[in-house]
Amino acid sequence: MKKQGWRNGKKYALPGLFLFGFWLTTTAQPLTRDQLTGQWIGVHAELNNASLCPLSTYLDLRSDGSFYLGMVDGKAPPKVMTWAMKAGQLRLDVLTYALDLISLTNDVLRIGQDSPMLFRRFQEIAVDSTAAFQTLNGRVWETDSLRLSLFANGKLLWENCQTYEQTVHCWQLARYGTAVFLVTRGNAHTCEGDYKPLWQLTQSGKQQFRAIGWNGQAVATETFRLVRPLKLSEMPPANEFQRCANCFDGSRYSVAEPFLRRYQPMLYDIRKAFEQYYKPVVASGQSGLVQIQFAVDCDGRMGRFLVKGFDNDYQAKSFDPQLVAQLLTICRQKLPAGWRRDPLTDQQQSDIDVLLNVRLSNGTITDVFL
Amino acid sequence: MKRFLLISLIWPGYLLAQDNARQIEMTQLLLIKNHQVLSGNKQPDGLAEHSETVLRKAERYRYQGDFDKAVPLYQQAAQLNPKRQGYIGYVHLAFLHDYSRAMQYLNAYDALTPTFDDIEGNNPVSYYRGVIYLKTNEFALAIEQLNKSIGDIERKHGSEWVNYRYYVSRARAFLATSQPQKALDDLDKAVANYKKSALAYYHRGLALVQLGRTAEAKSAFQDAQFFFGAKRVEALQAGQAVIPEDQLFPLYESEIEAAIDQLKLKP
Repeated sequence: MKKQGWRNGKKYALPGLFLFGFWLTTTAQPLTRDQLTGQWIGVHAELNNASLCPLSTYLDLRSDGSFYLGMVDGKAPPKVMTWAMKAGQLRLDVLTYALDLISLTNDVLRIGQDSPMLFRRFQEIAVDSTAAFQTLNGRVWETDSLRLSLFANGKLLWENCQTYEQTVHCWQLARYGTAVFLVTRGNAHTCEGDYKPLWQLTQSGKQQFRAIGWNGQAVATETFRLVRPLKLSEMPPANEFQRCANCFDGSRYSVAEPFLRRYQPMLYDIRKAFEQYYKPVVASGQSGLVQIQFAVDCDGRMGRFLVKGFDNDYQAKSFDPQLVAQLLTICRQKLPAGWRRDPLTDQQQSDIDVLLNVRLSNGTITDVFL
Repeated sequence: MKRFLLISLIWPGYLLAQDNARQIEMTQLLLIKNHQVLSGNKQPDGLAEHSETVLRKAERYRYQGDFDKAVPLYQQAAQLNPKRQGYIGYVHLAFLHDYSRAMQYLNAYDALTPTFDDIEGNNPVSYYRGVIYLKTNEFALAIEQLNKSIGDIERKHGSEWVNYRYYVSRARAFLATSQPQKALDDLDKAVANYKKSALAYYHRGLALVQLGRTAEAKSAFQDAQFFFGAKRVEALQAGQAVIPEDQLFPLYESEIEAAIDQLKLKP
């Protein structure tokens, strides 16, 4: 009987082993200390509102248990702490992370759930920084998604090829060990802080250079093709709208009440502007809500206008183009100035996101609110 | 938890003011923030808790202006936990300015205990109904509802226990229906309950204008202007934000100035 039972067991042994093997290969394996040991270059943090905030820092988790948190361009001295892995937990200084808060995929380390941070494993690829500078400086380079104009005065024009958005920053090549990074930071007014994604150069030639970084979709090695040489006179005028912070979008989505509730004191004058300048577009079907979003940069310039329409049941809806154009013109030209000064705290603000709602009934404004 | 709250409060500031050295501090803050497990990811224990998760999601969409996503979620949260209909009604009233939906939610909330004027936040539902009727220019109905909110408290505890904003709101309805003396009576009670109310003085000014007592009206508007400014200075000195006296009917400095200018034109 026993043998019979064993034989029956044997019948299921092979499929069982196969299933066990399958389970082993498909179930996420816990991270080991060896896997985490090494240098990790910051990619970005994903904020609550799904915007990405570039990280210009690195984590260096050393095998002797020391942990360095520093800046890739060396602009501030690193902080030295300790790290350990035990009992299914990662400890960074005094913070402990359950291992389900950490994942490693294709050498990209993801930490946390609240505002997940991405770091990529550092690859030490030696590049001659002097030669790289001579190659890059004073030229326009582009990938399929990004165009960089590197001016000889240290300014950089960053253009998103999908959205055509252009912003001005400062650039430099920074050495990190024997590796070289293209570091972009600051805005039209200052070269301090507010970093854009880092690009680590892996190869530079006269017609193209290659670099590792975030391409908008993933961490990848991208080829930047030479477009043309660049003259200083091609610098865009400084009076264009540009956010002063590259990692900004958090303000409106801060805790508790929306940021813009603070701007209620301006609402009286905003409503007056609409009362004075809006000419009703009398037409049936022009009822619901037109929402106008725009940003005011730290110099008080407006930009990034976006219009959404909802019907009275909050379904997406298109309004008469003339009506929308009128509302946009009022926003651009007739609204009271002074958005930069927080009316409640009397403090100067950095960039501000504005969200203005206009409720309409048959083309007539019935309410304006923030 | 306290540390998390602190980080949440200072977080936007860090995003706005990054200098080079702050990058390390910002990364540290993110590491602290990320060692928390999101409560929203936990499996909800019951419908009420699930309702809170849905409500948080709705609030986030509202903050972003995605009303098409927020409104159905508010509806879902209300179905999951009918006791939240009061708050959801308030949100539709105060933030979406959608008075018909606000009324529906508040009525449904109040109907949960038919013989009682339910309380949402610090106010009875009848007060919110009164506000909605004021917003939709249905002044007789507004007076009826505000009579209820005010009358209940006056009968039980006396007029000095009535929130002065209720009197100001009813005075608005009296002013809109050309009953300035009744408005003035209410505003006198409002001022008695809160002597530094710019809101009450402003409306007192409006009532006095309707009664043709221009000099007294001017004085009331000036009092309103004084208390408005004093409150702002007081808050700024204390490092606090200035909150409008009445979130549902905020008073604007320009509004007081316009009223004073209007008086100057009178002989």
